Amino acid sequence: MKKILIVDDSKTARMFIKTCFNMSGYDACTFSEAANGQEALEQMKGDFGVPDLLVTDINMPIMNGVELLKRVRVSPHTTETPVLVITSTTNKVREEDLKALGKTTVLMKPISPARLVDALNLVLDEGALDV
Amino acid sequence: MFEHDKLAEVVLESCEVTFEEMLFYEVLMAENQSYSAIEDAIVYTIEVETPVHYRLCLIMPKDMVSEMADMLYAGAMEITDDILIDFVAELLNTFTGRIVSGLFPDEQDIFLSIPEHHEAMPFDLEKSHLVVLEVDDSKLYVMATEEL
Repeated sequence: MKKILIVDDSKTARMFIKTCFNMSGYDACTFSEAANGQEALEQMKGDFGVPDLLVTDINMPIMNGVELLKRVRVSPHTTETPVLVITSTTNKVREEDLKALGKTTVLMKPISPARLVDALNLVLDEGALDV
Repeated sequence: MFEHDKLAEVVLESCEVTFEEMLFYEVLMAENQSYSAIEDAIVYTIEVETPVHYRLCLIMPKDMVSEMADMLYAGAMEITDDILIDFVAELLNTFTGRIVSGLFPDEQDIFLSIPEHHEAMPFDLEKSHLVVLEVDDSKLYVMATEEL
C-alpha cells in the first residue's frame, strides 16, 4: 500500500487535500496527517515510516514547511522522497528555491483534483503511487 | 495605501476562486456595502507581514460556515465549533495569499502570519476598507487595515 503524509496546521486543509486525492483516483493509498513539520518528522521516524509522497503547507507553527523540506532532504532515508508543497503564498523565486531542493513541486491553494493530478505528474515517477 | 476599488476587485476575485474551487459556492459583490453586525459570527484576522504590513479580517455568519463545513466534510467527522473555526481560518489563509498576489503581482517576498481567532470584530471601521460579499443571499465581510 502506497503512503501519503499530509502536513498542514489546518484540519480543513488536510481534509480538502485528502478529498482531492480521493477524487483523483488515489483513494487506495494510506493517508496520515500531521499538523506541523515536527509532527511529520516524528511520523516518518515512527510507525508510519517514509511516505511515498509528502504533501506539505509552508506557513505552519512550531516547524514550517521550508524547514521540514530541508530536514527531509538531508536525511538519507528521505532525500529522494517526492514532495508536493501546497501553499497560500507563492512566487517564482520561492518556487525555484523549493524546486532546487529536488523532487519538489509547488501548488497554490486552493487546489482542485485536476491541478493536483498535473502537479503529481511533475513530481512523481510514472506509477509511483500505483497500488 | 490601498485604492479601494482595486482592493474590492481583488478581494472578490480571490474569494470567487477560493469559494468556488473548494466549496462550489458562488460569491457576489453585495449591492449594499455597509457593515451590519452579525449576531452569531466567526471572526478571524491575518497579518500580511511583507510586502506591505497590514491586516485582513474575515467575518462570516456561523450558520453559513456550518453549511459549508457540512458539505466539505461530508459526514467524515462531527462538525464541532473547533472545526468551524479552523474552516474559516483556512478560507482566510487561502484567499489572503491570492489577494496579496493580486495587489502586488511582481512582489517576490510575501509572508503571512498564522490566522488569529477573535470573539468580536477587532477593526476600527473608520480606519478600514470594507468589502461586503454575498453567498446565497447571506453577507460576509472582508476588511483591510493598516492599523496593527
